[in-house]
Amino acid sequence: MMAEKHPDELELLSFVEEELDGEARREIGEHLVTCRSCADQVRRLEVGRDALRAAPLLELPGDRREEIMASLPERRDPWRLFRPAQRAIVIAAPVAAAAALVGVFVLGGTQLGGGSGDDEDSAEAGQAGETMLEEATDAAPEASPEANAAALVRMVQGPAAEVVRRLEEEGIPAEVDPQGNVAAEGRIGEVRAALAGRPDGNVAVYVR
Amino acid sequence: MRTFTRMEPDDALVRRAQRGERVAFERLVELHEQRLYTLAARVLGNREDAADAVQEALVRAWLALPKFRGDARFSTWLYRIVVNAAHDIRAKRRERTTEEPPEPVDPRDRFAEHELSGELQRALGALDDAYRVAVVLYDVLGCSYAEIAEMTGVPEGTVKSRIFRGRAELAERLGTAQKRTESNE
Repeated sequence: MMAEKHPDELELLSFVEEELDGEARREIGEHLVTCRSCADQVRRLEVGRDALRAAPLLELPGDRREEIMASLPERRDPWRLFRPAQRAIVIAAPVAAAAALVGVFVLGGTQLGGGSGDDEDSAEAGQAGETMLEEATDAAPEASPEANAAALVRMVQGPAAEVVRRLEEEGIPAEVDPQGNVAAEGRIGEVRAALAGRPDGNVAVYVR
Repeated sequence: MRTFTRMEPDDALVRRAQRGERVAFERLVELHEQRLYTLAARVLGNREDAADAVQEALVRAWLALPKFRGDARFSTWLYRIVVNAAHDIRAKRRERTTEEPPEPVDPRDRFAEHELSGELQRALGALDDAYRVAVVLYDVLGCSYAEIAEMTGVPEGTVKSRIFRGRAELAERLGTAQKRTESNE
């Protein structure tokens, strides 16, 4: 047999992947006719490729997506108007004067994401009276128009879609807003009661 | 020729998720979860570990998203994070296995029920990790040589070499290459 230069492995891969131009492809094709070793290599590449490409995509188990979404931590984004610490201060102030100020604390035009134990206080205040709505000062540029005059009920565990389902089961129309929080159409007391069994979390539920 | 359909995620969803919209991120998760899970499962060979790797990767992705500049496709950016998370999960599992004293019942039993079965997975599991990652990214997920090189931090030539060796070894382990040769003789 005449000594002949064998294609290297990258050339053989390129041959199998049909990445070679006409001349190079023809030369390797002719080589393969006479070289059993290289022909076997090509066959292995094809067999490996076919087995891998025939493998189906696999499904993430059951409710794992919801678990993943619920496990996402709060992200401190620089454009958020109220960070949790700031929100606590803003909320705590009217609550301290709550005996006189029985109103719903309003976070107008803000991103409502993020959790803080103090938010619960605002819900207490909200339950006391549901009429007094104030406009917040600087609206965040990304704020949804729907949130311009909204009363925060409480921060609950997500996912938001599940919170919406729960509210709708109780006959309270609700939807997930563009920020991933939940806007409900109803009385604060009703919304709060519907979510009574739900742990605290990062999804803001507000009425509008 | 390769005939993969590359589903590009909606750039608008990425931008919205970067601004902190969980709903947009959830939609992105929905679009990509099957491929992310397949990648993790094929690399790790265990369903439970793969789901943990995907969860860990998505938390990392969510936190890092504001820094994503779009230099790479969003999908390949996620694949890279999944591969890293899968390696971390495997390292943890190894630590756990060596640290825990032997129990009367085989401790691997609790993992065994989650092991992926099948001839292909057994063959994949026997490959060198670098070969396995390369062939899964290239042949199962349809990534390009350049994308795999960027994801794994090696030159394109190395990626091609890994695909060549991974496929060839896989065929050997599947035994079909040899059977075909014999049947042709």
